[in-house]
Amino acid sequence: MPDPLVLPRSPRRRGAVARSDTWWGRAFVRSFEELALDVGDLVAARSLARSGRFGAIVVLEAMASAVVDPGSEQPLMSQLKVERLDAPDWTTFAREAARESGFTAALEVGTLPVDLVEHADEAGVEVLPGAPDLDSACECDAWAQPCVHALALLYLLAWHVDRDPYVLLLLRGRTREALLTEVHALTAAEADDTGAAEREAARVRAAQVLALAQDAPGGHGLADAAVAAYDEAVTRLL
Amino acid sequence: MSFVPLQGQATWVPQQPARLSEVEFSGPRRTVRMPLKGAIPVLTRAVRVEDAHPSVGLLSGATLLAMRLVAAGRVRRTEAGDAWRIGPLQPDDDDRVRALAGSRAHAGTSVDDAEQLIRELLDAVADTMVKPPGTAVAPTEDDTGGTRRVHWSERLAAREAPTEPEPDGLPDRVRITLRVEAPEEVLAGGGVVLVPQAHDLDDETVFVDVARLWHEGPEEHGFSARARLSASVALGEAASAWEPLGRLLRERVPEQLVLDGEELTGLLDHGLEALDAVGIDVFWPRGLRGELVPQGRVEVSGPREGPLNEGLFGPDSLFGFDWRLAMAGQQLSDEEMVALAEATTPVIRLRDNWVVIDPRVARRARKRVKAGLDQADRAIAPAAALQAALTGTLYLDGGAMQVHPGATLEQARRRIVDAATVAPLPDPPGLHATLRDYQRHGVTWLAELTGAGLGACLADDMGLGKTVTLIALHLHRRARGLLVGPTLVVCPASLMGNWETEVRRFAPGVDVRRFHGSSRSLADLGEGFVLTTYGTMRADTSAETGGDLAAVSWDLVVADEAQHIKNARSTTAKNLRTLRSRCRVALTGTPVENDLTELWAILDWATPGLLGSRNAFRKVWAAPIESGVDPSVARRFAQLVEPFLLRRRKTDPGIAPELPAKTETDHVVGLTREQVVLYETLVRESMRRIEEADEDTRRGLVLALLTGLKQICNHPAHYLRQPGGRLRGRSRKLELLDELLATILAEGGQVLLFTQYVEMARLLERHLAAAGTPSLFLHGGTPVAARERMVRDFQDGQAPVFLLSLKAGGTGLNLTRADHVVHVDRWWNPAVEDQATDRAHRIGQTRPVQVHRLVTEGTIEERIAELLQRKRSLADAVLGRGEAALTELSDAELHDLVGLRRTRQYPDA
Repeated sequence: MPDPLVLPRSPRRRGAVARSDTWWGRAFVRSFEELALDVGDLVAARSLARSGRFGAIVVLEAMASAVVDPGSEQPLMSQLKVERLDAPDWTTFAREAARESGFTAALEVGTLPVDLVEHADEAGVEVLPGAPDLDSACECDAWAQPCVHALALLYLLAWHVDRDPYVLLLLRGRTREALLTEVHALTAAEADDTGAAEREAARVRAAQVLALAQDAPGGHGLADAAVAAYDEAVTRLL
Repeated sequence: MSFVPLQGQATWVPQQPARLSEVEFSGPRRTVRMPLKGAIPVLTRAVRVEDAHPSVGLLSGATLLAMRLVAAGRVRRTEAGDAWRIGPLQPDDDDRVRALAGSRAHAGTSVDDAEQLIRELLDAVADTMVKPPGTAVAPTEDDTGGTRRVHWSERLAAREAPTEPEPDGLPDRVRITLRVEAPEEVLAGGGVVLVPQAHDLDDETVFVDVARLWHEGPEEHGFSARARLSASVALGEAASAWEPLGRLLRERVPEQLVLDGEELTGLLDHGLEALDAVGIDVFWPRGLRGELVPQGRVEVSGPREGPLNEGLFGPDSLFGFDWRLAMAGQQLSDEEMVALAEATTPVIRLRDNWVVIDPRVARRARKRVKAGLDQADRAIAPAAALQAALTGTLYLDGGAMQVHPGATLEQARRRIVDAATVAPLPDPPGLHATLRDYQRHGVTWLAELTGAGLGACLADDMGLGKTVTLIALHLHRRARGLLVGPTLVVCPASLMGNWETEVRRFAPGVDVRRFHGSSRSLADLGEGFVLTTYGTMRADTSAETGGDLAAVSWDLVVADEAQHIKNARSTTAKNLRTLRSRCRVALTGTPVENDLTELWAILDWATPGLLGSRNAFRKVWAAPIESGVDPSVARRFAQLVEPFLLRRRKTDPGIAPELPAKTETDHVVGLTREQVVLYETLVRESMRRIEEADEDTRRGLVLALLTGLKQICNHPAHYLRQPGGRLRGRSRKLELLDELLATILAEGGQVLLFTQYVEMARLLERHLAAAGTPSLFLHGGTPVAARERMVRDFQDGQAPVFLLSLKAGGTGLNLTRADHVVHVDRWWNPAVEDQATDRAHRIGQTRPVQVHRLVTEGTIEERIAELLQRKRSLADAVLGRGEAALTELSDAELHDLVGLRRTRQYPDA
């Protein structure tokens, strides 16, 4: 298991709401804002997100959790679960990411390339979670989810996602390391293709050796013509 | 091969690379060791041999398993790409390996050992099988290394539990550079190829093409697997600096970027600069770039009349400047220039080579070709042409360009440069003197320069006969028919008499008149001399009416003691420039070459424009020279200035051999008790105030302190301002002076007494009068007529002592009757002191000259004397700027300088 990603506590923000300023951050926000039961909840959630009352956010593969008012008498644990993309999906995504060397470079500097997400979409992998992909839980008394705390947690996450799209990918179930390793392996496999012909030729030769071995002579080879012929035939294949 | 013993122990001998592994078969009579390739036939049939040794059975089973796996296509190339391995293994493949190990383990070989052996053998067989038949298996140097191999199968197997990449110690952080490649077919299309290279951040000499990070394994390219990502990120940064690089990032592998002509232009225009700003170097193949430099030519334009070189640089002359591009020092032909101008891409073919042209250069070439190659690019002023000819560099529009003079200009340049050394002209007719050799050279030099319409600065040491040289020049010009008017000499008042006497003596018959005081007639001017003072000239040329001097068209204007115009902004200097003349000569005995601004002022008057405007001069010459960054600037400056400056020293060989010896003696005297008390009190009080003062006040206080101390050393009455005060018994300097004078006068000698202070001179005058010694006293306020009379009287031997205040008597006076010179107090600048001494020690002096300097012991005077005796450079550094430099000393340094050093001489003080 990879170590959890810990996003440090956000201090209180004053003034206007810091809306997400990236296209992927805004898309993420739009997804979960659809889940809200009441517009008032969103206002309250943004206010709570800005308040500095949240402790550090712990992000694991496909989930995130944080405590509201940590250290107080009534701390609340709020949790978010995200629908995980499965391994084949990630392989598809990695294949798309490997198509252009600039894609991983962009991720490394905190950008999620539109092209990468669109190519993945075309290949059937939606990296940006939609509303149905999000599920939340909270210790508060709210009668339905997402509660204000969960929405606030989402806003906080969106701010982090703005700066580092890997957070979003982690919420979808893949660590940066795992993704990069897979991309790396794919580009390496690409280079391997030049060896396909050799592998095919080797297969044919090995099959022939096996076929010869089926009927190999059993002698010790001392002045045994059959043994000598066998050895010669096999040697030709090596 | 058929006689391999199978009943004995068979041993697996793994090697690197795996295909070189061996098997050793042992039998009762012999042991056979063979490479795997030779063992494979034996092992594949050994299963049929019933009495084979268990170890043979193990190897045999493993070999057949390997064959099955290879036949199933379960082989992978190693990450390094140089070998093949079995893999990736499916779970049931692994089961088979373990089952085989379990069944074939035997005495001496555990199951684990067996499994290890099997896995090694599988890889070795895979490597052997995939290599096509006949491939050499001989080990190479490279193959022997690389003991730690990272298998992609392992990497893939680890995919589900990824961690940071294995710490393989290889560099994973890289910097990007771009290498320009120039394949013929791309060049023909007007472009080049950019290949990104990755450099180890810690050792930039370690680098590979970025593409290799994708195509090869760490063993081959020497970088960590993660370097690929670092390279991509760095390329992303590069692309943000220069956009076309973004195309590389759209590739799966950023191999190379083919730039078309337009992109290449962009790269050269601004891309290189932008990339440099983000630390990305671009390497060009040798010879592809940067060899085309503009090379200019300056030449007289238009047809010239009259003899070559006469007035060549006069104000009416026109010079043209044009330029071509030059490659490897050779100018491009017209055809090549046209080809370059017409090129639509920065890549052109020149002299059988492809060359990438800087678009800026190409644009200039286009303009040049459009204007017409046979036309001079533009007209330039004579002074600029001269500067270009002398320095090989033309400063134009804020830039510098290498230039060559055309044939006519080059000829003129040679004459100017050689003027001081060519065979001298004969003495001009009408000169009633025989010039000495160096004077003849001086006249020749002046004649050449003035003949070409140029000015000059003759800076010979005082006493070498600058006056007679100038008179000879006048006569020379007259003889050659070059005179277009009279010669005007502007000089200090004290020298007018000297000029008049010498003109009458050396050029009798030539009209000489003064334009000074009440005699100001310029009527009936022929081709003679007019003498005036700086003051009169200033007043006259400032007159509302425009002035009489300015109305005359002079042939030659001479500024004697030209340091008077060293401040170009002074009215004197400005007004002097308004006088019209064919040419100008500055005379000075003070070295001017050490102060660039003064040098500019004097040379810019003599040859206007030669050194450029004051601002241009600062920018092009003074600032770079003073900063000392580029020594070549100083060298070029010397080339430019040298021809216009002639300075001979008395000490130069062959210059003034007949001057008698000069002996210098420092007379160290003590202080009287009164002086000690005054001195120490002044030091104590002043230092206290200096230490407390702010920067501005401090300067004034230091100067006041220095002056006060020097006055105390001279005489208490001097410091205490007692013009009528008692003189005897209060100053040891005075006592010593009495002794000196007694000796000198007894020998019938004559003496010059120098002091900086008029007050001190007055005290001495009173003292001498009281002693009945006749003396003359010249100071700054002495009227010109009185000065000349005094000089005459002294030279006639009417008074044995001549008192001079240095500032008044420092220059131009001819007092060769004196054979003793006494400096009552010290000047800060040894050169000034020498000039004073030279009043007596100059041409015309027939006796040895004794120089006496009076120095008070333990005082600032002695300290300064010590400084003066040290290295000249140090003295120049500290004293060259006079007292101003001393004000910048720290408190401690100052205290050390002025503090009175007690000696046994003052036991009671």
